[in-house]
Amino acid sequence: MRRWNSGLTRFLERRVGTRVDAQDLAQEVYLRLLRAERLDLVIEPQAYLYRVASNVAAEWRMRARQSRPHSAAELELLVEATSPEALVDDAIDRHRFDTALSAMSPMLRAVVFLKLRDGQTHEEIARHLGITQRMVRRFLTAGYIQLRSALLAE
Amino acid sequence: MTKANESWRRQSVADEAAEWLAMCSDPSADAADRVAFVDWLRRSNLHVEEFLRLSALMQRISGAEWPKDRIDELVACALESPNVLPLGRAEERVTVPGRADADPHASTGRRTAPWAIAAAVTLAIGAVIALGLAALGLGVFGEGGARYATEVGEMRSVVLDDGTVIDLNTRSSVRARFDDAARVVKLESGEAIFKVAKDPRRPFRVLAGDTEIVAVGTQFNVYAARSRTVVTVLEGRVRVTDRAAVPGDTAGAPAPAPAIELGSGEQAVIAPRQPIARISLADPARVTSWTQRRLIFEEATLANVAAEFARYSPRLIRVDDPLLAQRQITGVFDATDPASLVQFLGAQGGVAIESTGDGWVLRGIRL
Repeated sequence: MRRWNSGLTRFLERRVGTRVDAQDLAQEVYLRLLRAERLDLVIEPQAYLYRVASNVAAEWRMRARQSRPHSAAELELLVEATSPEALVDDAIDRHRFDTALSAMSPMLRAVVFLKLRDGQTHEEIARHLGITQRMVRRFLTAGYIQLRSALLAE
Repeated sequence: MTKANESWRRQSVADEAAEWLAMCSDPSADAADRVAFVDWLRRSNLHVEEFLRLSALMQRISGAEWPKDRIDELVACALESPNVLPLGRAEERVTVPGRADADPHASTGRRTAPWAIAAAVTLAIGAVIALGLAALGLGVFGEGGARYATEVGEMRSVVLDDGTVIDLNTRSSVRARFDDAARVVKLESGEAIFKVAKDPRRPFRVLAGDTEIVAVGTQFNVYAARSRTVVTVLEGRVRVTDRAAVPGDTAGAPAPAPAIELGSGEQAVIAPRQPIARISLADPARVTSWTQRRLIFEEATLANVAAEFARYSPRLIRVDDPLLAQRQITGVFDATDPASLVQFLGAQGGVAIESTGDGWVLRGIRL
């Protein structure tokens, strides 16, 4: 998976008490996608999307600092973004993560480990497990859904 | 939208996001897959939100500490077990008690409350809001029918023969033509809320440029902007058609023009040469705030705020400084009183204010 702005990751997953939440950010990204011309020509839509999202997050942080440098909320945001506590906040829930992994069937578990932990390509995973790439994609979809349900529960 | 409905929709969007994310790393995915993915993203802001959310989560999971299982053990285990793809989701989901309150998206109470009030006021009347592209009328409407218009800063309500009420915003005009079979109103310019009287035999149509909105007993607000049409449903359902879109170039019968149905709290953006886009609004109340002559801004740029005031008042606020134009404004203002914004900015500091004959010129003060 492509590496992208860790600050953006924080924006997207911090859940309470922020002025900028994932919904607002996604809405702005969406409007920019709508404005873009000939998006069908983009070779790597995923990378393009991440680029736009990172830009929006960076712009917002910059503006937030410029516009009201003395407000308590801004100072809090700046402090929060650099303190170790912010990193702890961002850590995924250990217990839920382990529970989700152990609830997976052996094949699903293997696909998820090889892809997300070991960074293997679909081809490598297919070869290791003796399944088609089509199956890899389907297992991966199931794995994403289960991990999301466990870690971003609503 | 009910809470159960929204929760269901979010879940199904999340599942689709998972499919697309798995597609993105699949080397056998082709150009058609990519095009379909982009189309999916452009169909709704909810799609973009869920995809980004899922991507960010998986990014972090990749960097997390994992159980140390060896690859050969994982593979051996997998090969021994029956190769069954999990189908169920709800049944298998790892439940997390005590987590519901933490998620701002889990509760829809905040969103639905204003429309519960609106429903009480308007009884069986639904609500739709649209921003219209009125400049490019198709000419099907002709020039007949009663015309109602407002000047800059003026707002007025009009009651039509069938009991429908139209609230006209500043600098707006509509033309209404009713007969036994149809009720048609053309928004020539500006913005209006339509509180449509129920009449199942005569559907109510609003034309805003190339956009057609059809409703039976509902309420909607149409705003004619220059570049695009935005339709927002506050309650009930309407059908929105983009008549400017060119149907597919097939040999058979012509395909119908693209149309979507919108539910409450949903907004459609119709722009030239683009598929109709669907947006779920977090706070639809902002769209109708003009009826109280209020302008509500949340982290809007000063450039946009000044442009919005210009719709309501002949006194113009000019921002003669690119950096200042990008300043974020959050607040509630009287739409007809641009001086209140100027005062607000003065109190915030960092702004040089110059009064001119017809308004103000603002510049940033470098410290």
